[in-house]
Amino acid sequence: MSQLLTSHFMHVFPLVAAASIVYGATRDERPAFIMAHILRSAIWMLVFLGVIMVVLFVLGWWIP
Amino acid sequence: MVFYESPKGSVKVELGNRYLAALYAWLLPGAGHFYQRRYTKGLLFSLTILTTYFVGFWLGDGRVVYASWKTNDVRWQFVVQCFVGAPTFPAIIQAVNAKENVAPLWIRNYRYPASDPGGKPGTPAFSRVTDPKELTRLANRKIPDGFMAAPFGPVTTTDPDVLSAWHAELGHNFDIATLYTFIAGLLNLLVIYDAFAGPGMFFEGSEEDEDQDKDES
Repeated sequence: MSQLLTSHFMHVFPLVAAASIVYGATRDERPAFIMAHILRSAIWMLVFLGVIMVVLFVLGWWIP
Repeated sequence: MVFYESPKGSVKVELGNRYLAALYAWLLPGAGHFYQRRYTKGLLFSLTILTTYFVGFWLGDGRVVYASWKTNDVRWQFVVQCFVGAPTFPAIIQAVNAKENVAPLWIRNYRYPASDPGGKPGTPAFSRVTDPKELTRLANRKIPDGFMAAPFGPVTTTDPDVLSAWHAELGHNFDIATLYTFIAGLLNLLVIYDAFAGPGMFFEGSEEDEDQDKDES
């Protein structure tokens, strides 16, 4: 776990935060709607990347 | 004066001269929104994109944003990075300089040439010269590393060169820093669009937005 926390995987969080803030803020003009877009896109991106990570992890474990 | 109006008419934004706003947005992230007096969004964009860009710049020791179209080093990532605007201009100046075969400006450090690796066993090729005596001894044979300049000299796929020395020094950070600065450029494309055409409220009136409307009221 500590290895994961210090690994390059951690760069995903600031990058997802930046991408969702900018993407969310370009979707609307009203702060409440912007916040909703930010949260929605952050969750969407993390789930999407998480699924890819799990698939690659399984493939890496499965393929010798 | 150009205005943006959302499909349901709930949002109206004064875009001013949208071409000028887009130009400002490219020159400095968020500046287009400041020009349109959309200060909160301008500040949000400015802080987010410039932080992403400069964190990448710092992780890559200032070496990952450079323009180069040399054989074996076509830096296509720069095409996207340069959407961050003014912070990438030194790289363009350095590229123009390199095309005219002039030594890079703003030299940060020097490296040993391939023909003179420093004389110490185990010293990697093209390592940095730190000893002032060595700098004097090498005279004009030393290789300059300019600020935001492309790696000096030819880049090969078989022998060590300046680019491979950068990779050896930075390790994974070279690619991660490239990713940060690349994403900053991509995000500023969205911001330029927002300054030019207003927010992309293509789905206003969708179920999600109506739910949000109910929550608001």
